[in-house]
Amino acid sequence: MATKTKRAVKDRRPKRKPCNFCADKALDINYKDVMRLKKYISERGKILPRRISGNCAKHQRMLTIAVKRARVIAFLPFVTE
Amino acid sequence: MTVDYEVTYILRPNLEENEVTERTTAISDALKGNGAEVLGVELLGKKRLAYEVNDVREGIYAVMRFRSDAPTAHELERQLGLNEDVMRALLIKLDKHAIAAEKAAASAAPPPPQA
Repeated sequence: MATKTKRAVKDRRPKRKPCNFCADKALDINYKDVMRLKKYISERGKILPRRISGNCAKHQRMLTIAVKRARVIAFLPFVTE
Repeated sequence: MTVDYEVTYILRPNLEENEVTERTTAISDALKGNGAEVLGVELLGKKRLAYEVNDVREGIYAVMRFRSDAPTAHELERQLGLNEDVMRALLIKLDKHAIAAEKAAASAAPPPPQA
């Protein structure tokens, strides 16, 4: 029984953050919505992982595409020094 | 088969206002000449670029939505690449969700988005 308790403690995970896009029922993430996309890139301009942003897989995929498009037309940086 | 497309391009910042309208109409007219249906052109105005392009840090943004077949759209992309006044261009296909979101945004608030 002791092992079971120990394991339960070890397996405890931080609470899953809710996906902000799901909360909005977003069906589309627009690459022109710079203000929104900015929240999901790091200081260096990298896309934040799901682990940090808390996005669901579906919305993270859409976000990735939107960020990459925004970079092409210079709305977002590829790199920030 | 026709598809809805959206093309965003950046014009050189040193163009005068009348020159900008001249360029944008020239681009949409060329597209119409190829049998495309232009659904709308939106000028987002002069914005700061996130990085330097052609040694400048600003650009005049224009967004155009149109309906055409794939070869016409690709020809437009090629032409924009050759155009000296166009610094960058991004052609994307609009899916049904993007169209719906676009419509909802247009009816809710006409002013252009973000800075």
